[in-house]
Amino acid sequence: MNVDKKELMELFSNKRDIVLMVDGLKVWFPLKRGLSDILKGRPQRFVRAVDSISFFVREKETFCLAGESGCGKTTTGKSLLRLVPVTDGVGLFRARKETLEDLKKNGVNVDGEDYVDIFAIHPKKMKPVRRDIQIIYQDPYGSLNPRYKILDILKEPLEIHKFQLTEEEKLETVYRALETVKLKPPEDFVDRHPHQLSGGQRQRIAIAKAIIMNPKIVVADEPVSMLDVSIRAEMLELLQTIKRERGLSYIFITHDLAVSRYICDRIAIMYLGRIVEMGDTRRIIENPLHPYTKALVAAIPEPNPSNRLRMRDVPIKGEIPSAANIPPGCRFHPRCVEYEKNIENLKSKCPLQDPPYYVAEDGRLVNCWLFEGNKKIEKARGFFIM
Amino acid sequence: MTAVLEVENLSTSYYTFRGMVKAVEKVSFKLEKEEILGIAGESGCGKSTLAWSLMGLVPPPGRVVEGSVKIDGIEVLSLSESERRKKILWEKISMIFQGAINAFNPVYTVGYQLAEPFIYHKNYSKKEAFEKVKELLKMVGLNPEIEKRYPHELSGGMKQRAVIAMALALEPSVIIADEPTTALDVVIQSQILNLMKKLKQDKKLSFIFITHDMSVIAEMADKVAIMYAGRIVELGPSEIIFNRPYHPYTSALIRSIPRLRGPIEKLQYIPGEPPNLISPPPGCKFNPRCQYAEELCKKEEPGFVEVEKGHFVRCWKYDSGKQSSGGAMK
Repeated sequence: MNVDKKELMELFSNKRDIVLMVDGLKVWFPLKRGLSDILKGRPQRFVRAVDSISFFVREKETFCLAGESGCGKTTTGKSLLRLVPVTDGVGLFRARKETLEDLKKNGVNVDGEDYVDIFAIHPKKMKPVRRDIQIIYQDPYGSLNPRYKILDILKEPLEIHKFQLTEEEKLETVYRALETVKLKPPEDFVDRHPHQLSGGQRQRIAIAKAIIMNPKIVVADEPVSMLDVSIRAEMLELLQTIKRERGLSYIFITHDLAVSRYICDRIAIMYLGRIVEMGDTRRIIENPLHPYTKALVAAIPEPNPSNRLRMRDVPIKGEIPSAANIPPGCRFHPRCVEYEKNIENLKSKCPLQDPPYYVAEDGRLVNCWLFEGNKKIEKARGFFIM
Repeated sequence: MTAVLEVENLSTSYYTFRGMVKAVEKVSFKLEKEEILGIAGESGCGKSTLAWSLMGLVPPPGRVVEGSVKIDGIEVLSLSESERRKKILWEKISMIFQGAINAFNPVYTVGYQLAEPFIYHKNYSKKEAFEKVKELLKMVGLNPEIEKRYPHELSGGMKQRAVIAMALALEPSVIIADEPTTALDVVIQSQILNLMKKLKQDKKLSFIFITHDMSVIAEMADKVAIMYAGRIVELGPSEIIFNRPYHPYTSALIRSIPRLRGPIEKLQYIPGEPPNLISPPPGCKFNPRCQYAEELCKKEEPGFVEVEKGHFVRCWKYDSGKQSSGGAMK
């Protein structure tokens, strides 16, 4: 075990309110190498979907991962359930006692007394952890099996994880889950198929399925973006109520900063596989510091009709590069207007060296050379003292 | 100002096995020159069907049942299929489709596909047509060299610009943009919206802009039509619709938009779901979700009433067919 991980574990043992701590997570997908690449000795190339990110999630907190498509936010969410191969990283997760016991029974080396490194477990032995970390997908039309009745859809997790329950107990649990997501009376819904439900009702089923195992963390991947505006707010309110009642934490993945402002406690803005700014949601959205966050916030349309009379000024250049071909140095510098303005001062930094994280006045982290005067974060330890 | 597009009492239905779906019913509006009309509504409210009806492209089993569509004074619905193709499509009215990103044929170059309307409609030679294509690409802020590329070689934002260029090719009087930015990221969305605003000013274009996103509507539209269950429930100048809407549906919709600035108030939502159009509720289609619904709303459908100049509402609160409710008229 390397020193960093030991240090991290020590820190995690003392921070009882943190349920998940991820450090240096990398998800790299190898690109195919042709025969000529091998013969010419070209190095293996990777799509660096998630490229060394660190964050933590507190208990009963909504933590938001936000950014444009292709920034790695969904991959990060999936990697927590080990649905994508994790290249590198430490993910300490405070699991339930039963989960840890089941893991030990399966021969997994559990290193902490009440937590486990989820990235060190073999994917085939992840089953017990998947009770504690659940996921809600974006598309309620694609995520429910059309051949199953609602009862079967909701009973499936119980059949897999809680097979010791009797049939009545399972039914009871399903009914309670349906009532939690306000599909009342549950008897009306259990015998239906997904196609007999509307989009909003389907998403409620997806939520019920995620919470039926009583998880500690729910990864909600764009749970409202497929829904109509008029029912979106209702769904967000439902998610909030469930969070309060069950005391769980959300990792809320979204591209919509306006939505995140209403329900998220802390936010991490991602760009090309890297977190560029992280901290209190409202502060970041109302006063962004990183040049990318500034552009992102400036680009969002607002329901104010006088906007039509002016052009929207979005301080960003060019288009997002491919994650297979990440620019050297700061990955944002080719699009950064601040860099262009101060090219003389910054040309020895931005195009050459990856910026470290700096702590801004209000305690948020910014991954940008412009903040060089501020306190720098050294290695994992500093990251989690926020 | 002159109206380039006049739609009156337009109704379109789909004749499905399970019954008739009145997707668009009794829709009337006018589009003036150099104006953007935003059409907003939830999914299934009939906004795309309305666009297809204007183009004469309603997919079977749907068809236009009644009404009139006049573009530059020409009645479109009475024209034959071939006449419409020759004289109206592309030249008078064109469309930027939803999911335009997939609107290109993957086996032809972008340039060839943009040149087609010039070759078939204007009888240009290939060389002349490709000259025009270069101009078009420049106009939408693309490098003219792109004409030689295939669609898969372009990014989403570039393809969207190319699709806009295609819609503008023959300088039509009306351009319908159906969710033109829905599949794009916000940064690219803002660039595309800026481009459309600029083109509107420079080329004096008239747009119909269809989207479910009220913020995008606010960004673009001079006039807004709110659709619900196949009907326009409110139509008026942008400022009125956003700042003092009359129809209960419009005001609930506007209060449900999460905002980026200002105090965080509890988001409002509209209880229930949009009706099934095979068996819509009797009376006002919004009555099951409306907090002001009365007996009359459940029995009879209100008319489309002009409450002030250029502002129309379909609600019994403002329809004087009922005993007057003067206070609400303010």
